[in-house]
Amino acid sequence: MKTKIFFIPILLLPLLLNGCLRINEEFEHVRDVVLLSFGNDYKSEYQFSIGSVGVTVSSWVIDASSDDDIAADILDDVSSVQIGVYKKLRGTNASDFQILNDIEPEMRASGWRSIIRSSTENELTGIYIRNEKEEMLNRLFVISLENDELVLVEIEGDLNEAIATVINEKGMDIDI
Amino acid sequence: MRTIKSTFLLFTFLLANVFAQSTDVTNEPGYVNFGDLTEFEKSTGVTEVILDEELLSVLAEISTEEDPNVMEILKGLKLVRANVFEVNENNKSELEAKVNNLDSKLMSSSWKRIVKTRSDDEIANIYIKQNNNKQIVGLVVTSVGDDDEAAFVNIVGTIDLATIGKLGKQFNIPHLDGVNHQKDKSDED
Repeated sequence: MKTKIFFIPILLLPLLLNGCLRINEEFEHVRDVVLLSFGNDYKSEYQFSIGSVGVTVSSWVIDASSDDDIAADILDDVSSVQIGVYKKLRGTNASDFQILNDIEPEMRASGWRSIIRSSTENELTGIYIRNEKEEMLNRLFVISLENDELVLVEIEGDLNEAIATVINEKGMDIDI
Repeated sequence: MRTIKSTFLLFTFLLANVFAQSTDVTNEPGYVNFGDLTEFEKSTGVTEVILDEELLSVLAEISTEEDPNVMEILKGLKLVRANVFEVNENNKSELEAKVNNLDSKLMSSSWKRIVKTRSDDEIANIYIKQNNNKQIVGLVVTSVGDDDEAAFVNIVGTIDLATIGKLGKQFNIPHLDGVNHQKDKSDED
């Protein structure tokens, strides 16, 4: 519940102060690849991008409203976020790990490399990274399917510090 | 002029080849190819973790005041790979066969088994690969457990067994706790 309260200002304030920006072509390309692998059985619910101003404002809001300032610290170094939320139209064998295998060559061709891929009965997750600057992780892509909802998120920025903050505060627990 | 061009091309090709070899983790002595695991990816619970040298070096740069040792361990690593599968009635025997096949493969290719656990419910093996200086350059964990999970883990790079438990804790890799004691026992035998 607490998390949801924090995410509302993240989503709303940038839209008010920075406007709702379109997702870029690269994100669209990955989205098309992912949706095709899922059998094009999804319709778009929301697709938007938050620029640096929106992210900064969001980090202020979180900073001011939260005792736990990890999220604000992470957002400090994020320059943009692109989000796509899609709803399943028909029943498919969506949480099949094979779908992640199908996506993998296209992701690699686009410069993404997977760090975590997992599937359970109702959930499918793929986390990919990409670095365009030496010794800096600056792009993160998450594919997350839970029940009927597919969420695609791309985060851009200096993600080294973001990972550092998470490790320092929470520890890096890869649940295997 | 033609000779210079050919020499330059040849030099470039050789340099590229050397560079490709030096950056390809599959050429490292501690790397193990687990073979085709797609058959097990049909099970309901599947997890794959691949942390390559680039990511590990970035993580290693991040020092923590609380526990700098963990990040020190990461510095020498070139790959942390884990494939975990949910065990069910359909895949249990195949997973056990895979663990046994890997055991034969590793034991016949200068890997040293430091932990071997066999019970009705669980099979678990831990192997290390040492270089000529007795440094550990690779570690493999294979297990089919009674916790309904099978794990295939490969850690490539310079590994300090004294601190390997911390690495296991950091990445939640099963069976790495107490490896150091097992290694001491194995050396005594």
